[in-house]
Amino acid sequence: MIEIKNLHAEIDGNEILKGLDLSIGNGEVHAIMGPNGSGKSTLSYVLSGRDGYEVTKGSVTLDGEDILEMSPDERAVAGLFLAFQYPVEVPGVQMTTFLKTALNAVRKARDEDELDAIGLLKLMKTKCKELNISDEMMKRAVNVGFSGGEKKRNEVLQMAMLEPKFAVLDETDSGLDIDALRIVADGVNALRAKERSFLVITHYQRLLDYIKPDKVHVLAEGRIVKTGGPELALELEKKGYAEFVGEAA
Amino acid sequence: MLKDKARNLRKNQTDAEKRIWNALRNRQIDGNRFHRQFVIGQYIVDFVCREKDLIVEIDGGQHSDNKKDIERTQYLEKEGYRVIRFWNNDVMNNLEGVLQDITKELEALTPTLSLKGEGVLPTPKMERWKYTNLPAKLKKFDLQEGEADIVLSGMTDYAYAFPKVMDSFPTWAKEIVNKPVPGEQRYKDMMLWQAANDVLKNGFILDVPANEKISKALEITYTGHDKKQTTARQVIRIAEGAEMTLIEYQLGAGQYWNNIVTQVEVAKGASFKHYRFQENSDEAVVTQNTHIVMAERADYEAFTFTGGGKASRNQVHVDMMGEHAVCRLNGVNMLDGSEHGDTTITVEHQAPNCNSFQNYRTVVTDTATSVFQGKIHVHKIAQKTDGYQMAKSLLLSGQATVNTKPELEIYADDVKCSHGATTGRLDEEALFYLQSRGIPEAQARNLLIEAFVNEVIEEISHDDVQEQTAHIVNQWLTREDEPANEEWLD
Ligand SMILES: Nc1ncnc2c1ncn2[C@@H]1O[C@H](COP(=O)(O)OP(=O)(O)O)[C@@H](O)[C@H]1O
Ligand SMILES: [Mg+2]
Repeated sequence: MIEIKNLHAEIDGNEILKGLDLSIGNGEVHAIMGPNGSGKSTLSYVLSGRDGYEVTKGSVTLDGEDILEMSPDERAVAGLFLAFQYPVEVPGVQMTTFLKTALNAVRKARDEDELDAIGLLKLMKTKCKELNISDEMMKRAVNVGFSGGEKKRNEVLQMAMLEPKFAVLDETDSGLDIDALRIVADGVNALRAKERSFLVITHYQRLLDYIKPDKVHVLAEGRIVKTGGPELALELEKKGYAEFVGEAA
Repeated sequence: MLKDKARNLRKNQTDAEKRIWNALRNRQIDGNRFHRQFVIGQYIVDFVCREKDLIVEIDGGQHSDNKKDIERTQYLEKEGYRVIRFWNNDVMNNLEGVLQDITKELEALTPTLSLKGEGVLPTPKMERWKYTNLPAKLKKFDLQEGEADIVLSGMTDYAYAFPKVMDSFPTWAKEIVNKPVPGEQRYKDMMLWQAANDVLKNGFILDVPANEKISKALEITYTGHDKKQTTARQVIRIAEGAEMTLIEYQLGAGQYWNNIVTQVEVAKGASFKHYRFQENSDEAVVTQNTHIVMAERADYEAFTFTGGGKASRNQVHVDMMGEHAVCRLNGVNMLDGSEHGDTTITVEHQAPNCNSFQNYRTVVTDTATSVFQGKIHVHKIAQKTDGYQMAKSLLLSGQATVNTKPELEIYADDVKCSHGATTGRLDEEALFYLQSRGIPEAQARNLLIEAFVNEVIEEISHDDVQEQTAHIVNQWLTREDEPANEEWLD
């Protein structure tokens, strides 16, 4: 259960989130849609604790725990995961090293046994297969030389391995062709579970054909301006966001 | 037993001995301390100045020239002492003259590498010493000349300790040692090399015969000791078609200064892998001059890790004299505290079709300073040269300093030369990405630093050395005095 209350956040003194309320129950998938620049990515970064994103008001709790006081890695340990809109290249750090370090850091912090190289490899192989990720990709440096689609699948792979309680997917669908979109969606759907919630940020309704949301929210100018069922996404697809931009301004 | 005898002798000095002792005692000659009736091996010598290894013997006339005396002198000289003799008569009738002789001998034995001397050390006024103020680094040092502590291990078949006297050098080594000092005409800053020539008594010779292909490495460990200044020389010949690997380890405790000169000849078709791990005490100064001469199709691969030292200077000069030679000069510097690490390289392409590569990664934190000066000099004759140089530095603190000076000097028209230098901080976005996956900040930083230096470590062709380097880097990263997560990002 993630609860966001009256969240205000600014970048360099400019307020971007202006009193955002949102709560997602266990097992639920919510979608956020909204025009470019409305603050969707800002929300995802604020949730994951990126430097430079200052929360000035409000609260965010994950299963009752205040996450705003935590460092980004502590949030990951607490069960938060962000699939980046623009996955970051990390030259020189090999995928396998990265996954092993991340997974074991999280397991250690959660008081679970660390995985040995073989255990990790097995897990990786299974997940890679599901997401159509080649062994060769695992030998490369993190996201270096990956195509757009590969980067997005790589985000889902990390999510699958870290098994978060709450995952934010920031435009994971953008730049994907229909086949890649299906693979990514299948990956996400496979993780849907009673105890896990998702926030799917998207610009297009298309993704929601594959990942069926319980609720759809419209974010405009730093606030949730409308909430509805999946039909809201179709409506937005037709009408665009013009009415919301005007309303909130 | 011998000691009792010496004590007796001291009590029953001859007149001549008394007379000269009165002039030698209490450091009367330029502060040099003498002992009388002193035991060395199985002998008791009349007077000895141990700092200068000078023995003064007074002969009564009755026991000179005999076989025992010659043996005695030979033994003492082999031990590194200089032995001078005077007759009783000289002492009694011409003490002045005797003392003059002793003074002269002492002067001759005084190492030129005196910290007090003016004009003995290179200064920042000199072009290649602009960023490293050696006199300042040595200013508060209180050092005594000592023997370098060198231990050879591993593949030692073709290596042996330095002969104490030039006469016992093999001819080839003598020739190498007597060669003109590289860079001297142009820069006039090679006093450390010359000083090493003057001292010439410590070090080792490595002589790998033709076509001998050795996979096991020779390992050399230099240990620095507090308050000691040592000078060592390494003379290396890899004969035609031979293959050899040398790994040097430098470590130590306290305040010391090691000045090392290394000369390497890699003959036609020979291959030499040369690895150095400098983990000196952070109070120590280490100056190194390495000169490599490469013949046709010779292959030289160097990797140097510098992870310590109040100041270290690694000066390398390569003369590529034969066609199709390949040299790779790589290194990683990891400097913290107020450490200062200087790498100064000159590659002289003096034959066509040679390749040279320089690839360095430097990590500086706290108030540490790094210097990289790399020069590729392509002579007119050296067509089809391929020269490459890359120096990247990572600043982990706002107070650390990086000085980089790449230089190309090209006189041939058909060459491919490139160089690049970057100085940056840790990539904040990458750091956040790693952290968002649950990796704690300190560990994430280390992953990124490791990735940065790995670009060069990956190029080490010797698997064990590569692994060892990765391990040393990891040790450096997880060292205890690492400053707590510093806020210094892009
Ligand atoms: N690093 C930044 N510095 C200053 N302003 C920013 C920064 N990142 C985003 N913004 C601004 O914040 C607003 C929201 O951006 P963002 O969250 O990326 O929107 P979305 O993801 O909905 O397209 C925009 O007006 C954008 O210009
Ligand atoms: Mg966005």
